[in-house]
Amino acid sequence: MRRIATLIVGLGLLAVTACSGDAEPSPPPSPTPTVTTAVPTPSSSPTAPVMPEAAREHTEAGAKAFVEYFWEVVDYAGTTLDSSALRKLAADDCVGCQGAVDFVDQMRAGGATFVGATTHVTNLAFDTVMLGAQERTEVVFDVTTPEQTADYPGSVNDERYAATTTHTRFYLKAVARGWRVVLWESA
Amino acid sequence: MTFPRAALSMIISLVVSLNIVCLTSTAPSDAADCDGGTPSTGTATGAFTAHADAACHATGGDASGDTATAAHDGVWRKASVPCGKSPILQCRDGLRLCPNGQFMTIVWFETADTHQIMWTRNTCEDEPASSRGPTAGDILNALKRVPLPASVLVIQPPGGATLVNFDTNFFTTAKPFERTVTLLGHQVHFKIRPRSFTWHYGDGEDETTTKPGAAYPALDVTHRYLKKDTVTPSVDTIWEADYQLDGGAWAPVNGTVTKTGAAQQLTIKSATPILVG
Repeated sequence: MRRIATLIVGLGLLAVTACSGDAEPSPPPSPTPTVTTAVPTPSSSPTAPVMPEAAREHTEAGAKAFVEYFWEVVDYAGTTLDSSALRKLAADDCVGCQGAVDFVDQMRAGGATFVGATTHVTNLAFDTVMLGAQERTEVVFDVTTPEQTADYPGSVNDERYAATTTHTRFYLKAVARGWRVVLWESA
Repeated sequence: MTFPRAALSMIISLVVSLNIVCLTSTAPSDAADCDGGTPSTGTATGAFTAHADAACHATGGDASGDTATAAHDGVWRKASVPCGKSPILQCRDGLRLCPNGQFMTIVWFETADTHQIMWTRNTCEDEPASSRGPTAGDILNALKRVPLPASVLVIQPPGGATLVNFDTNFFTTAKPFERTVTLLGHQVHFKIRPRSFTWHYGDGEDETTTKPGAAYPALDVTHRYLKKDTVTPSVDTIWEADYQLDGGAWAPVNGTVTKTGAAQQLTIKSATPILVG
């Protein structure tokens, strides 16, 4: 039963992807190559972003700096398909974060290239939510992304996402030296 | 990547059906719901957020429910979200709304031993009152309904009379105690204790202390009356409490309750010196 559900959801994602493509057609694709060629690699490997000290502060400004840094790491993960830095910013029980980490790992395992890892975070708003006696910092913001593609060899499993702005919600948990994301969802 | 149009229509129908089920479902008490990106408006998202939203579905109950309860001893909790300070958030009746107009509800798992909070997620529900946990205001109101001990004033010297310019001793007998009440279907356990005492000496002088005073010879709370009079002193006890909701973590009640004490009549007499030969 679970496999069926997973299949349906997987098909659903494909459907959403297809719908996105239908609604906002991307530029005409280049002709499908008849021979699979190696994806060109950057001449110099990008380095992982360094967390600014400001992002460790348990203040609204600190939360803002952390979220902006988080998305730099998302872009880094998309560019390098190295999820290790992203994983460190997420709580172990953050299901949404794990979904994003798994996405990176699956692309890497599948020999994919991710195109469009240039996000822009704007309109951050902050609040506090209580989980019983414990406090979490809520950050709602917009993430603007260009057209994005998880380009797998052979193109059958490619995932395409139209350029969009995603209204996104994080819940942040304050930890000893900064923050961890405990919830990641579209808002 | 291309799909036959009929197959695509069927898939879209399935996706729409799934969304309806998720949006109208209610988180069970023993397992977190798969919210399916509940607050989502269904608009296209970037690749990473799409996978974040999909993770709940992709992992199903394994990641959020069955495995959690199997690996940890604890309980699933949920609560409505009070309106916050952000102007961009929709609210009704003081509670946060999902974009679909339902009430936003936070669900989380709390471990029994360390009260660690895990697997936080949001769902959307039709009714907030039946499912939400007590608010801080509810807890304070529950504390106000707990019968508090009378605020008893003891005066020394006894007998309803004292002397001018004499350290008249005052004390009260308040002691910490515990009570459990049921509130909105939740068990709320209070540890209630006196926080401070306001002494009304009856001559226009008031004083607040954290000590309850004590019987002579410990003169913790005393007052000197300056003239002959008949006054009606009293003491008010201000109670505070910690509470535990359904066996969860202890937290302070946001507010205090004042128990007003009954006034006593006290005659202040002047002493006449008498030489004894």
